Amino acid sequence: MQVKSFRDTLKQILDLAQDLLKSEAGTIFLLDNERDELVFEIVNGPKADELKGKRLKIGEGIAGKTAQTGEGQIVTRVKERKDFQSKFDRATGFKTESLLTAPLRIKDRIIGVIELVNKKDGVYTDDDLQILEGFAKSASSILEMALLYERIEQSRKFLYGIIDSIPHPILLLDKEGNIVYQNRALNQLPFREELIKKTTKKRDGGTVECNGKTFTLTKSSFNMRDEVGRMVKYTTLIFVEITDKIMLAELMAQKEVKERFFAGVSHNLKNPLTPIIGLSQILMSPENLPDDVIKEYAMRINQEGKRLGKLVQMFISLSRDDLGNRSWVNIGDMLKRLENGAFSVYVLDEPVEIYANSEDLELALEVLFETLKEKASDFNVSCSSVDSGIQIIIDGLDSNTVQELKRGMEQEFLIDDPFDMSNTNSANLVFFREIVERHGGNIEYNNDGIKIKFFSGMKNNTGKLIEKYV
Amino acid sequence: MKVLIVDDEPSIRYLFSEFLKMKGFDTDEAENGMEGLKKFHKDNYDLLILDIKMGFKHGIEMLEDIRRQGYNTPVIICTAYKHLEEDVRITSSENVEFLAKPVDLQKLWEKIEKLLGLKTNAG
Repeated sequence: MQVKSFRDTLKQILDLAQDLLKSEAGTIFLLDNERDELVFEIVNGPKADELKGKRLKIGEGIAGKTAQTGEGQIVTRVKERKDFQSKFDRATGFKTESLLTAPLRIKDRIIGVIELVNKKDGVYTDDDLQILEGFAKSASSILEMALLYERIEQSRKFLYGIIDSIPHPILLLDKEGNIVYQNRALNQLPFREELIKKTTKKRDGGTVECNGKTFTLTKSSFNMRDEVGRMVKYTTLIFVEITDKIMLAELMAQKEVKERFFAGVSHNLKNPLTPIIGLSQILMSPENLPDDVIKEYAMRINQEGKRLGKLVQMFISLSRDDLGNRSWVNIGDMLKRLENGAFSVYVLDEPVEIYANSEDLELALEVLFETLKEKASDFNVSCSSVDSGIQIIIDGLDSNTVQELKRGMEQEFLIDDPFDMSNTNSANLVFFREIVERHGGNIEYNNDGIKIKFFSGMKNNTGKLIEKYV
Repeated sequence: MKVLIVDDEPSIRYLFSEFLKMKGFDTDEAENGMEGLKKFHKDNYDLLILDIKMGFKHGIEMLEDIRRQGYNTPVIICTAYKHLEEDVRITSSENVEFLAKPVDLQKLWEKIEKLLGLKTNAG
């Protein structure tokens, strides 16, 4: 007999018994242990629909007695049996003449009763009872298997129910990697096929990028019986979307870096203040100072004041959210203005103009060159237009300078990118990067030097793309 | 008396040096803790003025080093970072005074007087 569901198996058993013992009708009752009742589970016969689901107390009626005693019964004339429950006949209009019952067992435990009604060609005999009891006995193992199947199915449904209730996309695979089930959350993803494709070869704990979203992948394996009761290994893949978390973490990191940077800049602001206040205090003291010392102090106060002014200007530029007033700026002219004999500027072709905040850009280049001048003995600056924009190359830096630029606050700690926001040691370099990036440019830094590129595709205040040259 | 000024800011070293010379001190300068330690071991100093955050070696590390080596030279720590002041207090609070940046020369002088016991009873 092919394995079927428990109900289908019961139906098949009843049909076979009814055929075998040529009966007009038949019922399989199942025991409801909670309520000590028998339930009309499978009913064959003219009034089957009316009887399904009806109940009978254990010990009540012929079937109830069979369930109680575990012994089959033959009733050739129901009228002669006081314990016959005629209420069902009255209710349905069916006329029960004779009955044959046998208990249904699984592993010696009574699970119900099979009852045949009205033998078509005579009355039930002891042989019939023996046949039915034998038949019921042999059905036991089939029922057991059907019950196991039913439980597997129930477990499977239970598992799928749980999987469906989880808001994260989940994929269930068999050991060959075939999809066994995909939950509701996964089915609702419009890009599910792409996501599933991308998970192959991904390890547990890895991340999957799909359709602009990021998921972490958790894989776990478990064994479950298949439809024929074999233990089979399955794998679940749970996708947890972490796009928001990543964005939040990035925002937090940016915020933290920015806070650190401003703390560093604030510290830098205090440095020129000390000599300004201190030297002016000395000048104001009753001490008689020679004229050349007074002049020297005044010059230093002036220098530090200018330095402070620059830092304040950097602070103001950075605290502004937009680019402020912009105009067409000739980069070549700007670089030559800043040259001042300290380094060489080569403008390779003209005009090289970008739409920029002239004050910010000039200040940024000025503080960059100041930082380089502090560390390098000499360097060259060249400016040219390239395919996609404008390029400034600073080269000729000696290896010590390159190393010095990379030195962070700590003694032996070298930072990869001195232009990075995390470099609180050099507010100048960080300021430079910020201004360049605000103007749609980027900075490449390596041992050969510094390459600054402004692209033609810059945007104006309204976000509209503008042309490279005027 | 001789003071060693350790600060990575040349303008601050210049200011302190000028001020202390005016007060009759000899001064020496170093731009980081590493250089400061070298100078400290070569000469005898009555006072050290250290910036707390410098390249190469911080003032805090330099202070740790000299205290570990058994020197109890008076030290003035200049800092713009309040939390670092706490770190120093844990390392050493004896013969150490703190000065917040930007440094006020009057306050610097008061700390020097206190550490070197220069305050007379006249005032």
